[in-house]
Amino acid sequence: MGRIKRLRIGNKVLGIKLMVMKPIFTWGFSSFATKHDLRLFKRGKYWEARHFPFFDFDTKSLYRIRNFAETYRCGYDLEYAILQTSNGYHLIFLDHMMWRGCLELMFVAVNYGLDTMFFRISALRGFAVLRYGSKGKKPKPKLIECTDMWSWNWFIKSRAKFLVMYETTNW
Amino acid sequence: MREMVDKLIDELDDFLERMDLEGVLYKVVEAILEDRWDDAIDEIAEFTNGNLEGDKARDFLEEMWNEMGDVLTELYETGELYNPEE
Repeated sequence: MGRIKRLRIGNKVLGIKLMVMKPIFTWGFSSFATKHDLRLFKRGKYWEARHFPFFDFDTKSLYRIRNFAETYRCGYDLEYAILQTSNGYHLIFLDHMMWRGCLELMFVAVNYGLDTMFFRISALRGFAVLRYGSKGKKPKPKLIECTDMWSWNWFIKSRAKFLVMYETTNW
Repeated sequence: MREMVDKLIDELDDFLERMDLEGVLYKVVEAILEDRWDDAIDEIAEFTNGNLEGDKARDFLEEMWNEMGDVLTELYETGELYNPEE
């Protein structure tokens, strides 16, 4: 098993103060709908694999997220959940779709002013990961809105098979 | 160009393997259900090559268990949790 190692060195206040952040382990889940979809991904069939559409928005603008989510709830019956994080919000649509559809949703989110690094990382990886554990002193994401609790419970149950842990830093 | 793309895909696949708890989850859940927390912590320490061990590993596991314990127990008892030794 490879060692997870990712250490960031940041310069705060225009490089006057150099900070070496302490790495923190946290946990979350990946976006693969089922094990079958993970197998498809590992065989290189990225576009055919189904995923839950995940978003991690570094914004305080909850109304924009809600507007974006409601568009798809009204148009496609996509239930959703919003979780508050230490730096913004997670949005999770509570049904899966092909990876192409997930990326298209992310592109639409950009038009709502909801562009994030999360999108770019996910597009490169071919799957998405959301933190669900705490990040050092930063608390775990908290569920603040959900349009259908049955779907949320079904979603959480499905994520137990896709738990991931990773090393991050706390700025 | 093709070689670069293949290399990038290999790196990403490796990243996924390093994150995925599936290979260690069965043993961790089994140990916790049998109240062998130290064994569960050892599994996590081994998984991270010692990067996460001791009290920090315990905190990590306790938080995850508080949130996902019920579901993981159900999956374990119904045989749905992947056991790499089978």
